[in-house]
Amino acid sequence: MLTYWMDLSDPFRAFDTLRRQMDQVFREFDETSGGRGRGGAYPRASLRDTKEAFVLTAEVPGLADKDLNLTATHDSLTISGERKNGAPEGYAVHRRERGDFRFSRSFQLPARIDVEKIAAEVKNGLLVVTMPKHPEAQPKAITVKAS
Amino acid sequence: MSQEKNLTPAQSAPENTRTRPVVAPPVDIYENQHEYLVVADLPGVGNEDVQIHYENGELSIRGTRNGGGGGQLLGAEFGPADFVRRFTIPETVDAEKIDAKLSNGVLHLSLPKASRAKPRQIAVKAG
Repeated sequence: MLTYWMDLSDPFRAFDTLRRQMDQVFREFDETSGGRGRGGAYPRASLRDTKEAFVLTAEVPGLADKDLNLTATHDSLTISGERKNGAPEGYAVHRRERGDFRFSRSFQLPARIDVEKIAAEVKNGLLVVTMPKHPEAQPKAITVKAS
Repeated sequence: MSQEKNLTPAQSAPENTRTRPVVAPPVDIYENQHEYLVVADLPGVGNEDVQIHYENGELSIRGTRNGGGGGQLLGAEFGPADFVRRFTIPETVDAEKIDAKLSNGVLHLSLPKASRAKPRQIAVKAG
């Protein structure tokens, strides 16, 4: 980086490079275990609204179906689970960033769902919960009559 | 502890040309007499989306997570991402025998040590 200081035509390039590198550092930190506490709850989740259902996706790496518990009411979903991955037997530990965790997180849904028809699957470390909307909450087309 | 120095992350990844963020996944590293074990969390990455590269003593792990599903996004705490992590590997690793498996979004990499690096018991003969 020092070489940039010699570049007289653009003396601020060094700062620009530094700023970009710092941005990268913060971005990476936000995304790793060290930054997990920042900006909210665990596990991280996303919610989508297809017209017929709400689809919740959550990051649960290392958890199988039996490690996850789901409960739902007509307008909320709670997921809980636990990951225990102690160091494998007979190995020395060099680096431990993944850790064990236990979580419980509730989501308030924007409309009524059909509790009986909820489907959940876990794939590649992502939990996907599909919650069909209750018929009451389905959008209905209303025809406009000319008078 | 001297071994740990060898398994430190290499320099940060070069800038990406795509807009999706480059993420450094959390990693565990273990060692026993026979191998190093690298475990990384890559949620949402399928078997076909992982690339493991070994070149000039540097091991790079790259996993791609694509955006999932249709419909309107109401809220997102994570999205598509490139998981990238690079490590310098000690020369004692037998690169030919590196083995990787992915289950439940967790990557397990086994890096066997070359036989010359394994500890050997030397018998002392009576003179």
